[in-house]
Amino acid sequence: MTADPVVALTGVSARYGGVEVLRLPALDVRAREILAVIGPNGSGKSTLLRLLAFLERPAAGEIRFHGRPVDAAHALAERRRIAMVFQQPLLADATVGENVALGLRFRGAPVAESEARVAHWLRRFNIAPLRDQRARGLSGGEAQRVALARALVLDPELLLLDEPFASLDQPTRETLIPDLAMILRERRVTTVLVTHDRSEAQAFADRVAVLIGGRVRQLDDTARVFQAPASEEVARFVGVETIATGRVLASDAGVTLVEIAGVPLEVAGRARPGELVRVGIRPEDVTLMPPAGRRAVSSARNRLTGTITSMTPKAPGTRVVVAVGFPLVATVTLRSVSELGLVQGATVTAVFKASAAHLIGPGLSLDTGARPGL
Amino acid sequence: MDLFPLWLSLRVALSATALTLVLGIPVALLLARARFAGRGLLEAVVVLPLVLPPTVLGYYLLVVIGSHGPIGRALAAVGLELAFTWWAAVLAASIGSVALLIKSAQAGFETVDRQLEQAARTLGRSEWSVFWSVTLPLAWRAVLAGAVLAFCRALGEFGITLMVAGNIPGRTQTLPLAIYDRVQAAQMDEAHALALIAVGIVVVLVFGLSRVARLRY
Repeated sequence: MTADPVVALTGVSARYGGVEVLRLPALDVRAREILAVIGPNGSGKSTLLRLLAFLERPAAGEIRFHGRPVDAAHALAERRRIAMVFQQPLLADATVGENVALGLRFRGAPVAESEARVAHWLRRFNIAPLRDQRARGLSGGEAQRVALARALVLDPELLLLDEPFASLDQPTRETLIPDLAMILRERRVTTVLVTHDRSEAQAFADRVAVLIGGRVRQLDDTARVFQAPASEEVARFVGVETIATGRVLASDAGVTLVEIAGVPLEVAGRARPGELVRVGIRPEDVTLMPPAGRRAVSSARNRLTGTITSMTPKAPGTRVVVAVGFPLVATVTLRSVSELGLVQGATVTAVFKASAAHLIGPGLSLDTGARPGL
Repeated sequence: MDLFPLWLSLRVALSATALTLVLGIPVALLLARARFAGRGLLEAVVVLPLVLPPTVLGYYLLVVIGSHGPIGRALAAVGLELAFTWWAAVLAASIGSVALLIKSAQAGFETVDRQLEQAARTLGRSEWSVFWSVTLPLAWRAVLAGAVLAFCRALGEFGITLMVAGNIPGRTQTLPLAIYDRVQAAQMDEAHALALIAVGIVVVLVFGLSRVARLRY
C-alpha cells in the first residue's frame, strides 16, 4: 500500500545518564506523510527528533534512511538531505535573505540558483518584503517563517519540526499554522512534527504517534487516535475528559449497551456481555439542553439528566461537569450558558450520539478474552 | 640596562600562550561538552598546576625532561636537549598557565547555546565547521580572556622555570628571574625598572582585555 519508508527505526533506545528515555521497537516514517508525534513534556519527543536528524546516536538499535543504515561516517551526507526547524528560530545575525540562503550556501549551490529558490520560498511564506531586513529585528512569527523557509528551500527529503509554534502567541499561530499546513500538503514533504499541542496534530497530521514515558502508546490515523484512543492514558492526552467504567449489557451491530453506575449508555464498538469496559467521551461531543427539551433531539441516542456540579471557564467556552450517575464533562459556548441559564446546581439533560462514546482499549475483565472492536 | 630578559620573557610567554591555546581548547571543549568516565579526575588534574607548589611541579618536570628522564633521554637520542634551554622555560610557563585558559574557555563553551550548533548541523555543516563558525565565534571573548590571563601568568612564571630552565643570564634568565637576580646583587634601580616594565605590560593587557571583551555588549 505504501512505498518504502523514508526512515525506519528498529529496536531503538536512547539513554541519558544511564536512564532510558526512549524505547521504540519499530517506527517508520512513510514517504510523503505528515506524522505528528504528540506527548506530554519529557516524554522523549525531542530526543526522537534529534535521533531522526542524526544529531544523536541511539544507545541501541538501528536507524535506516531510505533503507540504508546511517553510521557516523555518513551522518553529514544524510543530514544534508534533511531539514529541521526548532522551537526557537535560531537565525544567524544577517539579513532575512542571507538566512534563508544559509543551507544552500553550505552545500555550495550556485548563487543564481540559490537566489531564485530563496525568492520563491520568501514569497511562499509571505515574507518577501522582509528580504533585506536584519533577522534580529523580526517579530517571533516572522522569524519562524524565515526558519521554515530556510528549511524548505533545501527541498528536504525529510522535514523535522520540533515544537515550531510553541513560542508564538495565539494570533500568530493561527495565521502560521494554516499557511504551513497548506504548503506541506501541496508539496507532500515527508514531515515529522513534534508537539505537545494536540490541535497542531489535528491541523497537520496524516498519522499521529502518541509518545508517553518514552514509548509509543498508539500510532494510527489522526482521526482514529482522537476518536478511538487505545488506552486511558492516550485518551486523557488527546482530550477525552469523561472516562467511566461499566459492564456490557448487550452488543450488536457495532453498538454496545454499557451500564455505568446504573445508567445504560449506547456506545460505538463491540464487546462481550458481562465484560467490564471503559468508555470515553469527548467534552465537545456532549450537548446540554433544558431537562424538558425532548423535541430538539434527533439522532442522539444517549440522553442523561443530572445536576451541574462545577463550571469553569475554558476558552473559548465553559467546561461543565454534570453528575448523571458519574461525572460527565461537556464544553459549551458562552452563549449556551446564558441561553440555558446554566448555573451550578441546575438540572440539565446531556445528549450525545452513540458514535461519540467509545470503548477505550481492551476490555478490563480477563475471563472473556474478547477485545472490543476498535 | 640589559633588556634581554624582557625580550626572552615576551618570546616565552607568547610561545607558551600559543601552546596552551592549541592544547587547552580541545580539553576545554571536552570538559564543556562530553560526559565520560574520569571527567572529574581530568578537571582536578587541570587545576593541579594552580595549587601545587611551583617547585614541586618543576621537580617532576625536571625528572621527566632531565637528561636521565624518559623524555630527556629520548630527545638526547636524536641530539636534542630540553632542560635548561629556553624551550624548557616555554614548557614551564605553559604548565603554569594552561589551567587559566582551560577554565575560562570551558566556561565560555558552556554558555554557547547547543541549539545554535544543532541548527548549524541541520543546515549541513560538518563538526569541524560548526566549531569554527558557531562555537568559537560565540565563545571567543572567554577564550581571549583566558589567553590574556594565561599570557600574563606565563610572563610572571618563576618557580617552575627556575627548576627546569635555570637562571642562565643571556640564555634562560627571564624577566622575573632577572628581577630576583638584581635584588640579590643589590642593584635596586635595575630591579625597579624591570618590575615597572612587568607591571606596565600586565596592566595594559588586562585593561585592554576589559575594553575588548565589553566592546559588543
